Amino acid sequence: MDAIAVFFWLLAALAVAGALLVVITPHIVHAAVGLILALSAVAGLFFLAGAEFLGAMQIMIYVGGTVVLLAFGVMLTARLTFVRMRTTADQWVIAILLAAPLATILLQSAWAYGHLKSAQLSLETKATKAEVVSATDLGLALVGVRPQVDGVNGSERQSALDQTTRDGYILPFELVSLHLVVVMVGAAYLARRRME
Amino acid sequence: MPDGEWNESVWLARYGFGVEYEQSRQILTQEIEQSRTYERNHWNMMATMLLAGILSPITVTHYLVVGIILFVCGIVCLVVKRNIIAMLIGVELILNGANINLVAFSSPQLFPLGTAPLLLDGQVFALFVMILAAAEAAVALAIALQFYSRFGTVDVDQGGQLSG
Repeated sequence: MDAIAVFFWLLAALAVAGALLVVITPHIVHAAVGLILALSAVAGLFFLAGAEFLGAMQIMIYVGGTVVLLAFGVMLTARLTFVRMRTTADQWVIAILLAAPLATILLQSAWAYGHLKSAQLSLETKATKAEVVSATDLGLALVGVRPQVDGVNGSERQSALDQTTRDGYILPFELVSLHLVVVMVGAAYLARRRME
Repeated sequence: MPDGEWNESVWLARYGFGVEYEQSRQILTQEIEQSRTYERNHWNMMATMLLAGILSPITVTHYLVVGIILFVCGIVCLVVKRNIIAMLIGVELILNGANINLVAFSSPQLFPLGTAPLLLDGQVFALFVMILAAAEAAVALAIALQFYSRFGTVDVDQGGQLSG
């Protein structure tokens, strides 16, 4: 049992505990705390999976941005009688009836993928160059250059991928920036105080 | 397995107290011992499997299971809660469950040497998901503030004006 496994189980337990706290608690502030716990643990899982840049972004955008936004939402809309909203027993029954088949189906597919993957891995044992996704690769992909695919090392992958997948992400990048501008203007317009 | 003494009395009632008593009693004790050994082996096997599951190296399935748990918790939160901000928190959990899957399938650590199905694409899409989630949270909170100033509550059941 190596250090990665130890940290994985620790972070996975934290993430699951946070998610369960979000679901179970009737108090909205406790739910926000559970969300912070779950998101931070997920950032740790990203670090463990080798996506360091994504882990940092998870902490900055989610834990630093979205959760603060949610906390302000809680504070601005808090009224003592509505902070705490009870969930009735029949709602729990419906939720469990919904969640149990969903979880069963998803867990079965994850299990099936694991078996499929182990069978495939025993077949293909050819070892190519170790590929690591760094923040440089991500940034270059966002401006339309993908050295991992286009470069000299990627000659084997180049045949497998057609031209459209090698173009990088400059169009989605521009679209998402435009989207962010529109969203920020729209949110500021929506949240303004009405003049009466 | 039922209790031994009760079982013994049933045997005695069925087969009498005659000559076969010792024989039947021996068979009975043998059967009880067998079932106990079976249960012990069963529990040992379960414990071994659990331990093997914990001690085995982390694969992509582990990540998928964590993502599934977050996803299902988010769905349940979305269905159960009536507070509009709690529903938003559920949406964030759902998006994070999806993000875990994307990162797991793009991870060079979880797949041996360049066999990851989504090497760069998964991380880029997870990044886009994060950006869009932040945008969605901003708009949804603006809507929640308007909802609150109009209805004086964040209970979504109170906003039924448009329903017929």
